[in-house]
Amino acid sequence: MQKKGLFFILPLCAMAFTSNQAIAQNPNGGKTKDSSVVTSKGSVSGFVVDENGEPLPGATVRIQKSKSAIMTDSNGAFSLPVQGNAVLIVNYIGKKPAEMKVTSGKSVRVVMTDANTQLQEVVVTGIVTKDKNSFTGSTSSFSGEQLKQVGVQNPLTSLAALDPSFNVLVNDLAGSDPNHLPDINIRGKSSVIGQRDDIVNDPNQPLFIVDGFESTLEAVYNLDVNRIESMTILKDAASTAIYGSKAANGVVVVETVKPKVGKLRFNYNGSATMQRPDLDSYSLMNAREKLEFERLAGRYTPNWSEAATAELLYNDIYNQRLKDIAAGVDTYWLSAPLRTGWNQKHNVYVDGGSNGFMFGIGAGYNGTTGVMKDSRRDAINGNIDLIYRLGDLRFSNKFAATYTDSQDPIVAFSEYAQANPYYKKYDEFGNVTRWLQNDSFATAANPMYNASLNSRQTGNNLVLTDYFLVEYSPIRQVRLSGKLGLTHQNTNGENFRSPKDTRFEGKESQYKGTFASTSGKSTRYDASVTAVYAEVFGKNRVNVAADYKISEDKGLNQGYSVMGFPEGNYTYPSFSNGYPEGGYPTYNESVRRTLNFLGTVNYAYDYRYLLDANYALSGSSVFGSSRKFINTWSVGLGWNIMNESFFKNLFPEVSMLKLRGSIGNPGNQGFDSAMTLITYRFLFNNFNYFGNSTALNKFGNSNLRWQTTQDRNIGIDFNTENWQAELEYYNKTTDPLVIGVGVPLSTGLTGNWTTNMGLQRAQGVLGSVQYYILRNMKQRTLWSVRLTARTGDVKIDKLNGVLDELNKVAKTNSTRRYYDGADPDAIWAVRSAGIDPANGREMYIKKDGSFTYEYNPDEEVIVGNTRSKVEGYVGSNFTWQGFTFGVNFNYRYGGKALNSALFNKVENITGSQLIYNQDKRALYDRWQKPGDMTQFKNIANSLSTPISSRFVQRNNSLSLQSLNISYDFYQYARSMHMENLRLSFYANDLFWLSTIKQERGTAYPYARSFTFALTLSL
Amino acid sequence: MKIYKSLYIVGAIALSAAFTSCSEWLNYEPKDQQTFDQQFSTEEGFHSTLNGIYSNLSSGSLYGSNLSYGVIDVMGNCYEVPSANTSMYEIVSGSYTGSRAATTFTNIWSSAYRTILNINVMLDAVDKKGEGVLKPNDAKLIRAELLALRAYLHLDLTRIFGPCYAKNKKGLSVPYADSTDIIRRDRMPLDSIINSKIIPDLDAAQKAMAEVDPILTDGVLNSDGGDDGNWNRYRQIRMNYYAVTLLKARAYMWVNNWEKALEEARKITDDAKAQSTFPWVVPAKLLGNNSNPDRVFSTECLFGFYNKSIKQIYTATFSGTLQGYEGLHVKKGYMAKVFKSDADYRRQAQWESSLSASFDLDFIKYKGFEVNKTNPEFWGTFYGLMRTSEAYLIAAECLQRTGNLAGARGYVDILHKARGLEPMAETATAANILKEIKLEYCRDLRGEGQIFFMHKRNWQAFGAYSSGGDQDFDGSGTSSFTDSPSQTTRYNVPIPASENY
Repeated sequence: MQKKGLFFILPLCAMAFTSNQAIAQNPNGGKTKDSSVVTSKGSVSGFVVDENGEPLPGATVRIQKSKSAIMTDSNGAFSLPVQGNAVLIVNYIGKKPAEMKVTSGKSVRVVMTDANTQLQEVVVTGIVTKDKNSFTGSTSSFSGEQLKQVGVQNPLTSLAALDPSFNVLVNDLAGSDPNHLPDINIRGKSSVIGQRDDIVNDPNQPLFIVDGFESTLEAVYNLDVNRIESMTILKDAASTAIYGSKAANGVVVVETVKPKVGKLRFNYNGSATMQRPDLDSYSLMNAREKLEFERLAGRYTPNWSEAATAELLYNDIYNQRLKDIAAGVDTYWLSAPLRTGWNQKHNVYVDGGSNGFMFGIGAGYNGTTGVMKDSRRDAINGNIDLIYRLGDLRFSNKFAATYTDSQDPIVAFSEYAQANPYYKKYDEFGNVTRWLQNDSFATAANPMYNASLNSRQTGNNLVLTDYFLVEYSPIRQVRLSGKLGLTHQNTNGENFRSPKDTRFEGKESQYKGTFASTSGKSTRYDASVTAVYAEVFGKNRVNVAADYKISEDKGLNQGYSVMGFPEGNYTYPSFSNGYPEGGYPTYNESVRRTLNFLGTVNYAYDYRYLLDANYALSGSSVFGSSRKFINTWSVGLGWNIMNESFFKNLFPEVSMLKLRGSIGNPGNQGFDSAMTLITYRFLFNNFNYFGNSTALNKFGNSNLRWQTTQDRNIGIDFNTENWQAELEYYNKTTDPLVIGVGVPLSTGLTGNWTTNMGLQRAQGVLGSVQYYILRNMKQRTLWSVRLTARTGDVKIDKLNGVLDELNKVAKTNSTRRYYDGADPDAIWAVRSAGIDPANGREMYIKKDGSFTYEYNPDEEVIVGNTRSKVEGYVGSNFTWQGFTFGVNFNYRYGGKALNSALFNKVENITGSQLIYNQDKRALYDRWQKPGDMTQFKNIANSLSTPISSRFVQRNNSLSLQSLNISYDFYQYARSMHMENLRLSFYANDLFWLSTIKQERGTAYPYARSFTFALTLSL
Repeated sequence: MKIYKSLYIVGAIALSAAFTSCSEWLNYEPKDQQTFDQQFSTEEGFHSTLNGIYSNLSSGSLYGSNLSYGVIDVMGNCYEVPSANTSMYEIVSGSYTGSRAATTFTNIWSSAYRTILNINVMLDAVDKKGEGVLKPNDAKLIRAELLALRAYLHLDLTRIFGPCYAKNKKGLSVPYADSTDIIRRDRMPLDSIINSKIIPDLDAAQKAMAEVDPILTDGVLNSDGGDDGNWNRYRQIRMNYYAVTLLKARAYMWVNNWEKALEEARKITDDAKAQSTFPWVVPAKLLGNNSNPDRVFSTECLFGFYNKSIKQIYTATFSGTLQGYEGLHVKKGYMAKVFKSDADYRRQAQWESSLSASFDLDFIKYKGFEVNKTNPEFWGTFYGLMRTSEAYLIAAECLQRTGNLAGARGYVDILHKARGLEPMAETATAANILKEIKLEYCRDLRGEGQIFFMHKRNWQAFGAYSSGGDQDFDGSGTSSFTDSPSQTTRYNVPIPASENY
């Protein structure tokens, strides 16, 4: 039945092309702008344009108190005789009358705004643009300027600082690695257990839309902040439901800068960033401390099974090291792979044009050398934007190309952190030694040696996108548009390990040296048609839209590896000895097709009572053949209290007080298409009389259902001249989840079986408030403070014990459990009463409160939660004349974490770990003799310690995310024939205070960065 | 107007996309993988899938080693296993939950069920997609082979992980996976898994094969079929009517159903067609033959598998040059107890003086020979898993159990004669006959996985350390260590821990 319905509607909407820019955004906030070009004395000339910068022919222009009026010509241009100063009044049907002070002899640009919008704000959804005032969804929108105020590093970090719902997850491993993409979620996760597969994405990742087309996290991450016109986050069902099955994780809509009508403008944005590694979180032992620790831990005491002569040998080694230390050997390894990192960005955009034809061309460069040596990312991009108007038709095209070239360090930072300080980096001739030690007592490679070889890990990526849009408006109420998008991506990676690398020690030369190559290609097509009908009937405002969209995403990943390289500069596969035994090339193809039909209605009565309704029918090739389609819907209701007359009389200063709520069921299809298929593979090593043989490769679940989320949202928006506040409650219930569960081996499967099981309920409250302490536009003085906060919790249910096996395995190595009714972010551990001062052993607390020395994982309880009770940003901006000063802090409070440094580098230093450098606390804070009151167990006990609450600590933090100072040469720019000139200074990640002392950035260190930026338009 | 024209083109693209049946368009079949539908759209696809199932069966984790000469014979106390941190030592000493032994049993269990899933998926395919793709008789035979293979695997899992019928006939055995549903299946009681699952599957297979199996008309056909292909040939490496019959006899034996077991065994022992299809090995072919001796007595085999490098079994496991736990060897002096006469063809063809002073005899049944164009013998790449002699031993035991001692001796004597041995004395008691039958298992079926099951069925005790032990069956040298497992420990193999969730 669904299919039939779809066929019926398709032709209707396919015949229509519509506008998604129908009620586009006004970047200038509706204020008219003076472009100040001197024209002939005694007259004023200029352009009248709409919010999109499109010329308005036929607008009436007159001087206040004068009867005579003229009409703008087909280019929207006019010229009026004026003596001295006067006030210009411009009228246009459907637009608010505009007033503007003019001076004879100057040229002006008048921007007309929609008559019916009170705040002139719109919500860019990527499909249909909605009037913010009548919209009931939960969204937030930020201009490029706002994003830049926080930082110019990348748009995602800026967005996180501005909106409490947008969460860039902390990654203690990757630190400031320029080639690492962040993990992102909006309002917490909707899928429990990671279902990342080889091709597709994080199932909790939001959908990214750039200029109306589906895009990727990487593309947005790579986008220069200066190219962004606005970013909008769609959070609740009412706003995301238009994306149907892809909407459950929220949507980020990015609009890039569009060319503006007028004479040629030249814009330049440049910045230079210096990055300094931040090693404050490390407190490793020095040479003397490490040796003493090893002695106390018994490294130089032979065990019972060793011969008596071992003692002499061990004494010799110990004394030799002691001698070295006395001679001054104390190597600080952490600084060895580090350097000062640099980043420079340059972006040029030239735009202009007349009413009929507008263009913008741009190019940019973004080069980073990371704080680790051999870490690099260079990106160049170019783009061409064209807009062509002909009568009621409007064509626009955006083309962009981005090429990224990257390199990663060969040796992880953690290897330097492990190196013992009593080893020397260089031999007596100043050469980097291959081994720090390589004998029967210890084997330790010099990380600097492996890093100094010609090993390399490089990658590159080319992305080409072209977005074509045609719009047609046969009558005022109707706008039709058609879109075609094409994205092509090419990715290559190479990983060469020199045959001299210490990892190949002891292997035969035909196995020494490896080379691996991977390459990926993907091509994506999008096509859509949209029809919008908007009309005002008295107090009733109606906006109806229909949209039909199809897309295909085709990916191909290939790879191979070879081994056995001669020593020397022979690093390419042609020099290799051959493929590894039994090795074969990989070849993964993936095709993902979707189609989406959408109907959406927005209705407002008198701007007081608001209604939104959306229905989407989505089909996808991802899910089982029996369940290809999914219905998603949402309903939103709103009440603009400030428009009620009783309220207006009581509180005239309140410009907005809106109560809104929505409910809907957006879907999530961030899953691998292969999960539903049964596939076979050839068994090439088994030829017999009957020839080939094949066996099951993957056994997919053809009954897999879409994961849908019930999303409920209630919000309130409040604005006065000095206050802007927003408070929201959300409740997302995902039922059923798509999860991988362990199954009995007798099913014939050994891994996880992907099935629909369990539910997850996430709820939370988000708020943001901004207060203007000073607001004096005339003196250009502005001082505001801002606070955002987020809190929430997650529960899972209805698993019926299917993850018990996972829980059982996790008891040895993780604090995470999945039980019905429990919070998946809770920390499970056996409670600890601390270390018994009498014997240095850990005392555990059982569930019944009694004490025991015996560790029993069944006594585990919840000892905290990894999620902070509240987290967000505090910031302030101060503007005076041309100066702007901004500061943004990130805070987290009320969460707990397993301190892995305590767990792995203070305790659990088992025999094999003793050979690595460790945290100072392993020496100073461990029990040594009866009576010692310590937090950590007997230093001589090198047995492994199970996880207990002793290692779980409060995880409160405050960090200075960004600090910026800028100066706008607005007074001088004109005299220098510039439209705009601004200098800025940013400092990012300046400090990080935390109640938990553990190493951050273990694979790649964090960095503090300092940036100078220049913005210039001619 | 050019612009309107391009507009129409855009519209036409969108429209045509919309009209292409959406549902069809969303049916995407990946081309870099063989999907179920693609696999079973051709006859070749069916054939290679069935061949893949036989391939899985002959992998080391199943009948390629674990369930033939490896783990299962170690459990049957066939080898002396030195004390070491090895899976084999944990197994021979009954530490089945030791980490290494547990890994081995998990491997057997999961490989078996993985193969059963392959079988069940293919059974679905034969039913749903076979029509029009497979010839009707072929479909019928494939279906019968699949059912027989499913029963075969379940029977051996039951015999390993289930109880001994004499001790606990209702004890839990293993789950019977008879569909592709990914669900938790309960372990079935021993009597019901045999009687209501395994026997019915074998019945169905036997009945269908009686109608279509070419072995009944043309024999084993161990030669190249030329242009007609080999699909209906080489019946000894595919499940066939006689193999299924022996399986049925094995299943009935496991639940002490002597009458039924005898009935099935006699379809092999007392059937002229069977006798001509599987003739006894000709002594001249093995004794004194060094170029291509048929050491596995291939002509007597009802079922086995193709292994192009049989020789490696000998060089990697049984060669006397392998010391300590590297290889598998028999306790010094033990084989002399088993073989009462050195004239025994098996003693002559399958054993030789050890290459090492640590042992007296090396097992050379799988020593193989170079197979090439001039020496293309079928048995050079054949590993036997079921043979006619087992049918004679089953028939003999059934008669012995039911008191017909003369009949029992009769079957033993037929086997003795075929092996160059004297008939049993007419004065042999019931106990003598039973012991001779057991010893015949040890002589004839070594490397074929049946010795442990015979012992388990009889709750056999070994060595001096267990009361009622009989060192004649103890090739393991358990007397050299004190932790010789009791029967309860030895015969109750726990199912893998990872099955239970």
